[in-house]
Amino acid sequence: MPDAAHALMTISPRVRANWSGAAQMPTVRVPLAILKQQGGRKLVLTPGGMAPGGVSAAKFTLVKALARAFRWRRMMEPGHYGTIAELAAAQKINSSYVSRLLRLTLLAPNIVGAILDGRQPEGMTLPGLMVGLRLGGIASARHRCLLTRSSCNANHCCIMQGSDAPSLSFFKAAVPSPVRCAERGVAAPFTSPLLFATRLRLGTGVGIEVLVPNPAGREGSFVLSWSAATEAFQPSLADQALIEALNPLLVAGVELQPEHVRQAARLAAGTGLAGREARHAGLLNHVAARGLHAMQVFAHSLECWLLTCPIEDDRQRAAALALRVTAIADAATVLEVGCAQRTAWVVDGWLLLAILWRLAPAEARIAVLRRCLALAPPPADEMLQWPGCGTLRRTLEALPLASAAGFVDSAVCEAALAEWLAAP
Amino acid sequence: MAGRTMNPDPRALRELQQAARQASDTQLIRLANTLDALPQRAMAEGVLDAVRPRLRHIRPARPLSIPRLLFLTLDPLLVAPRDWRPGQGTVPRSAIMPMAEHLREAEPVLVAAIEMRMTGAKLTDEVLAAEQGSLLWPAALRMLPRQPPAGWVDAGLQTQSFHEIAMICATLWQHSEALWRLRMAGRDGPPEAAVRPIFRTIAAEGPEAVELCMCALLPFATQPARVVAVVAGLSQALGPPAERALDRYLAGVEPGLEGADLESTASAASRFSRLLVDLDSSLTRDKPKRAQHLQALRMSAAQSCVQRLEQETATRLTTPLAAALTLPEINDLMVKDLESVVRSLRGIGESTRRLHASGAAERVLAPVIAHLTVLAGTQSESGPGFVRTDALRLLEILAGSAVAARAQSTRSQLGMSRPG
Repeated sequence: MPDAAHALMTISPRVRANWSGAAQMPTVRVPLAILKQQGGRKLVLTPGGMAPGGVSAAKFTLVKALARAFRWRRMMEPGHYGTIAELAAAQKINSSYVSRLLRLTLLAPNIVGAILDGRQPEGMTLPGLMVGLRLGGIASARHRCLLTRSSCNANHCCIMQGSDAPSLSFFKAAVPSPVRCAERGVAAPFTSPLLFATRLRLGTGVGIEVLVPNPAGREGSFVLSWSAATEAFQPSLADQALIEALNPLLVAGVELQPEHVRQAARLAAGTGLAGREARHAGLLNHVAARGLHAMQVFAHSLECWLLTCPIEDDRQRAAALALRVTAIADAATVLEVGCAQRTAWVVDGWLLLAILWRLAPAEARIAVLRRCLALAPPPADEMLQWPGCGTLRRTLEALPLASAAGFVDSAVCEAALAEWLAAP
Repeated sequence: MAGRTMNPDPRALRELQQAARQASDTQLIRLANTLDALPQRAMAEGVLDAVRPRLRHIRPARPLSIPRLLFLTLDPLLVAPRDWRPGQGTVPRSAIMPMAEHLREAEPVLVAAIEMRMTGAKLTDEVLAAEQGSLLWPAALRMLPRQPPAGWVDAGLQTQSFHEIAMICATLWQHSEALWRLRMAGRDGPPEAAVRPIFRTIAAEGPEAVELCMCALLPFATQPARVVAVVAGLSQALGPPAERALDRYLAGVEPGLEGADLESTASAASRFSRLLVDLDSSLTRDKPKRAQHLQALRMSAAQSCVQRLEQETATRLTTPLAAALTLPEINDLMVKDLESVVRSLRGIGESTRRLHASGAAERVLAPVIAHLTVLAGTQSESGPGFVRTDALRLLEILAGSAVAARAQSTRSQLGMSRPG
């Protein structure tokens, strides 16, 4: 019992004991007043001057917000609530607040982990997080109701850097649609499924940058430094060897061209880390294949597949992708006469996608289609001025959103790399 | 052949069923093909009853015939004749042939035309099934007999059960086209946008129709809980039938891990663990019995996975690897086979962790990972035999790139060069 209360309970000298004669039961009157402590502050004393182990108010707020956000997401996912408005009404909370809080479920797992462990950077607050997410423009297909379509423009990129990875300040700026091909980047035949056919470019001051499509299937890409990509995607040894092979160019400050990535891929495949098949293909030393025939086959295969596709949105996607592939093949045919380098830029990445589509198992086709659309390299502005390339802009129609996270096994990516290197 | 009774020797049937249960996927496909070629199917159905859940996953390329197409969307509602009871919303398999024969007699031209277009076609040809089904199912609904068709009693069916069975068939045939579309989209959930309008239409016919159609759909959905939530959310009246359909579905859920080959086991385990994630996420909150049932399934599947992992690691990886190390030269195919085995083992290990994170999978795989780490440090850089890169790749596939990178850097620190 606390000392104060103990003192208050001391029996006053005015206590009188009245004995009732009949029942012989004593009645004791104690003039006791229980006082509720007003205000004050709790002080936790820890032994030996250790820092208090409790959670600070700010940290607790973040943890509580995260817990609520994930709980609400779990309530929405199975369809118990169709919209945020319904959920907000059921919880008796303002729908705008629910919207903003739900965005916390889009945080990268390492950030969520850091918050839960109390390792988040100083100054990370709940309002700051929610604002950061809005500016970042990230969205998940599960929560596409959270952000309007216009809030994330085509070719909209958010720049992430490895050193900033633990905090949301990695969403530093948005870059507009690529003006130059070098800015768009070169598709790389990585063997890690989440990195396969993502684009590489030389960043300013951060070395090689990777442009990763939004896993939620929304338009736009995230730009990561290679160190951030390593942390986020755990690239395979073969992928690391590919980047290592590009390092001399980085030192020389040379802008990446499709041929550079091909040479680096050959060197990396030569180590055998992407499998024996890729190693043999790497030794062939073929000139970069344009793959026009493969692209025509790709377009035709998409057109055939869409007839069997049971989902209307995916039929639309397949038709749109087939249109783009055909336009790319047509443009490359026109350019072929003029300049090999321009042709290489126009077809860059498309042969990889064509091979991936062909190798993908039937049950993964829907996921691969969505992934191919997310990976499809956008034409740079300078490209649209080239002969025969003007039509490329018209093929960039808006499509229904879908998650592009489901994908194929690394074995398929390795087989695609081998075939890409061996393509005549 | 229409459902004419054939009385197989029960003991022989049991032995065949037992053999079918223990058969590998390849053997099972061969068995199904052999039985499909038999003129009398009564015995065949009895043998295959024991392995139907596995057949549903393996999906062997069985011939697309008129009876099979007619009852394609009713498949999950079909039960062995001895298991059929009135009022359970099921159809005995023995009713297939009388109904199909009745349709053949009522619509001979149409049936012959469809049969001709399906010559040589297999059940896996989903587009053809959708096309021809869109002609056959409405015709079957139109020509639904009012009395038991010829061969009904011969098939061992009772006259009084006809109306109930006919009602179920009629309900399903009416919505077969839509249900088939949803079933094909089942690998993607099926998506809510596809489920909603179709079940809104079905709901107009009452909760019984909704329950039957859901029972026919749920086994083909990768996210059945989401489908149930979507349908139950359409209106308050649809909650109870959706829940009943779910309970029926849960009663029939099986991991299907027994007997399959390694690769199929890996994909079955992955599919089942993801299915449980979907079911767990929404179904067990206020239904403790369901939670218990799912937990029992989870534990049993995890146990099967661990046993399989132990067994296959020893026979398919450790032994061949030891053999490969003694060979002066190994070809690409041998390495590819080892990599394929390791991929499947990793898949089973991941599924085991998802099912029950007890560390059992890690315990089984840890010695192999340690062995491969040693090999990555000791094998020669190049040569015709099992080289260091092969060990690194196996290690990377099994334990991830971080572990392989550590093994690689350890060797580099010891002054040995990178591979290649």
